[in-house]
Amino acid sequence: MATLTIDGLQRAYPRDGFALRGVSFDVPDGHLAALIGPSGAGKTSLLRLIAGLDRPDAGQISLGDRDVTQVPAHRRGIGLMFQELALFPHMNVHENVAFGLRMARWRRRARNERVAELLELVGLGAYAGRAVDQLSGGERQRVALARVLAPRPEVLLLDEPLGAIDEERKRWLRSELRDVLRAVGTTALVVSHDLRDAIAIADDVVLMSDGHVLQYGPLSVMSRFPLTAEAASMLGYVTLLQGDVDRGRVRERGVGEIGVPLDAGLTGLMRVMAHPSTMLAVPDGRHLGSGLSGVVVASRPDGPVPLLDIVVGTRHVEARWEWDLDAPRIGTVVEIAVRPDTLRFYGTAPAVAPVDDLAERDGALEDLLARDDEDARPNA
Amino acid sequence: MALLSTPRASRSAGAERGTAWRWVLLPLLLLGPFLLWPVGMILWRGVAPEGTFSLDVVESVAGDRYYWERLGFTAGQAALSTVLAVALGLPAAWVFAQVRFPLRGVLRAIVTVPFVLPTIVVALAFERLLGPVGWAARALDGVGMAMPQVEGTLFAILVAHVFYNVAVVIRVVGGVWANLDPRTIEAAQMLGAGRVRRFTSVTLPLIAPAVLSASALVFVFCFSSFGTVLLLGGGNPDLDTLEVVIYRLATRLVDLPAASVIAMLQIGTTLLVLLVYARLQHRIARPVSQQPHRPRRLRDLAWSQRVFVALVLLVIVGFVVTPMAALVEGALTVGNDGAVRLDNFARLFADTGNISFIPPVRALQWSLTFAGGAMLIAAVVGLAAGMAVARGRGLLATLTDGFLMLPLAVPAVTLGFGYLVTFNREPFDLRGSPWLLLAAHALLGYPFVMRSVLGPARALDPMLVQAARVLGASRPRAWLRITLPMISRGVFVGAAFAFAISIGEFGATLLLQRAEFATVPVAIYEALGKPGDANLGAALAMATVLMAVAAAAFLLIERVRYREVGEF
Repeated sequence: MATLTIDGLQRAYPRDGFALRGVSFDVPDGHLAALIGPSGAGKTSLLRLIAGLDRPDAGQISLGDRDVTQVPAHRRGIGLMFQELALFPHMNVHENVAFGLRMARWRRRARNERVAELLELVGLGAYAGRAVDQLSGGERQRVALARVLAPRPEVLLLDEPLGAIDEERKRWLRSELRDVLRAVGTTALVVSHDLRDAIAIADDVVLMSDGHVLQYGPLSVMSRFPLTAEAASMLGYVTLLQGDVDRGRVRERGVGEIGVPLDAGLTGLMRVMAHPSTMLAVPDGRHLGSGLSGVVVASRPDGPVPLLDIVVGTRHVEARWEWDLDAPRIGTVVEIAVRPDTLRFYGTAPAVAPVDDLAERDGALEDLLARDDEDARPNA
Repeated sequence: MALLSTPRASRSAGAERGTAWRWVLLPLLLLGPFLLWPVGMILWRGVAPEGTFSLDVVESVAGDRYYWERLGFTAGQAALSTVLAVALGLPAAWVFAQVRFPLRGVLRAIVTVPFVLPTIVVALAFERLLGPVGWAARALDGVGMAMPQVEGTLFAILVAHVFYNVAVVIRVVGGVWANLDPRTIEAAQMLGAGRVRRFTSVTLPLIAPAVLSASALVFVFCFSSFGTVLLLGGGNPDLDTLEVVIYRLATRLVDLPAASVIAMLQIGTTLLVLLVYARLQHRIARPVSQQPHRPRRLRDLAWSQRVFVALVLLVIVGFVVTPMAALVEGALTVGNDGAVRLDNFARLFADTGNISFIPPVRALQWSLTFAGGAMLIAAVVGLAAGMAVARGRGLLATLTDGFLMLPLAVPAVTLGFGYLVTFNREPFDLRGSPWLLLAAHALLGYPFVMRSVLGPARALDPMLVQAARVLGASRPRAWLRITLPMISRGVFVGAAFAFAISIGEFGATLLLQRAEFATVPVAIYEALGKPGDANLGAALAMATVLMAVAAAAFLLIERVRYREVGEF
């Protein structure tokens, strides 16, 4: 077990017209971190660099205090679970899981015990002798997981471990994966394009976009305080309003206006974002928190609760209607009610700012935390 | 990401299952009268020489130690050739499959050319290289050493065999190796396997079926060796293979029953090995990689690996090019006291039959005619055969596969001999008819078309055809518009092989030929039989032309390359 530290990693991929720039973050010992980003953000490329399957142009990778940047992949002590699983087709389940142990020269008895232990852990106790091509997709996933865990890697990398699973199964598999990873306690970095994986599995989250890290840190902190609009968007926030700040209010024509908190301290163009989990649609005229109204254009049931598609200005916003359980008719004007302390205000230039200085960012985060706790105290 | 081997794909392919039998009819039209019947007649001649069933001849052959020795030698040299070809071909297969370097495509094509070269050309080339006045002899002479006798030794035959067949190893193994899922190797790497362990634990087991498959093919080719042995054997009776024995029995000793028994032995052995090969092919046929795999560039390799690549390329290309160069040098210098002149070539065109019995230009015309005709027949029949096996499933497919590959089990001389004992009485007296030779050439070439077509035909996603049919295409139209274009490259590549093989065909031609339609290999053989530099020069010049035509035809059509999925 060790802390994984990535410092200033750079790698250009000229043939793909893409580059990883100044990637820095760390995953503390024993933590589970999720690496989130859209496809093309460079997540898999980064994973391969950390694993040692590729060499960076610059930068450093460390496990604890051990610099492994120049260490060949097979001696790094890092486990990698491939998106494609890459099980050995000519070996059965037992042999697949035992492979890493054989490479590490474990004696036979210890090997067999360890393999049995891991197969039990992933729920495949009786499958040791099975041929790999006779397994279902989910079973193969679990063999791949057992295989990568067997040699007790210091750090574990998982590339889209829930990639090819259908939605139903995913929900259940997420918690299974989390339980297994917590039981083993290894430092782990899970790559996913799906935020829900991160929320279900991870303690920390690393946001990546277009070859660099936007922000990283504990999920609980980042969910509440994304530092940039892009980060907020990746964490599920939606834009309510975008316009110039004038006398303490952000105004957008055709949409409305919202009061800017005093300490936002910015003038000029500003974007106001909110998270759907804190937004509700309410009858017009209630002035319950955002002052923004819009027109209902569609509605669909989310269980017993109607989920409304509301057009605010030119943007579509989704909000639940819990006022009563009769969905308002299409064309009705409704108001978006938001918890005011969950509104986030972002200056819109520059939208993409590589975060380089860890200390500075940590400091900014702490300030925000302290400030918000103060605001939250008087009246909730 | 359509995985062609998933249960879903084969379920939707089930609708096509029943169409296999339609495709078998066409190949049967060729195989029936021109293969099965002659083989049947051979069998009949062996077990019923006087018209009634009698095992006398079989017993007398079985009792003669000479034939057992010949069998042992034939199998032994084939096995040895196979081992050597694999030893040389495996590193080359890796280089061509996994590394990107300049001129990769060209070098790969060059290395494959030996396989389609006429045996007589190869024999002459090695004679110019290793013979008493060849390059090696001259080089050794320069350092004051004597050239050991090579002609008439096992060494010469082995070298020629490896020369031919290293291409088979490179293509068959290389095809599978290139398609190995790189993630599997990387997974081994992440689990702690160093380079050697990765090769032994993962790569080797995964390419093993391909290696064995290639070995089976090479063994069959070497076991059926005729021209090479006849010409490089220097008359040494210890080097006679079974095909040579059949030839001598049929033409010199005219002991047709004994020849028949040996022919059956020949067919039986090759058939056995081919059955093994067919089983192995099915192990490879499933696509192993779901991801297009880019071979690594030279600069991504470690230094030691780069040196290895350079060494392998040097050896392989040198090994392949040197004999051919020696041949060309001979054609340019023989009879001119060492000066380089085109006299030998000029004389080919001037010769209208006065100097030699077979005018070279006429011979070339006939060669091209036969090759063109054989290629067309082979292409059509091979296409049908490939479709038949691709559309079949399970055991039926394996049997059809083996059955349609039968011509490989009946080597050239045996086939020619079969024709001699079959088509020799009314109303099928085709003795002396060029059509027999054409049929023989087509038969010898068509398995290559079939194998080249089979890969793409199997890999073709049946859903594409179904999509076409849902959009209103009838079955024949869907085949014409969808299936055929997608497997057309296989047809072209196979046709290239068939053409080149026909151009250089020697064994059957020797048995069936007549002066009126003699081909170039026969003309060369005849010229070699006569004394004098002029004749040798003519032979070398013709051999050079033949080599150029075979290589050019092959290389030209090979430009229409496609990604191999278990070709051959």
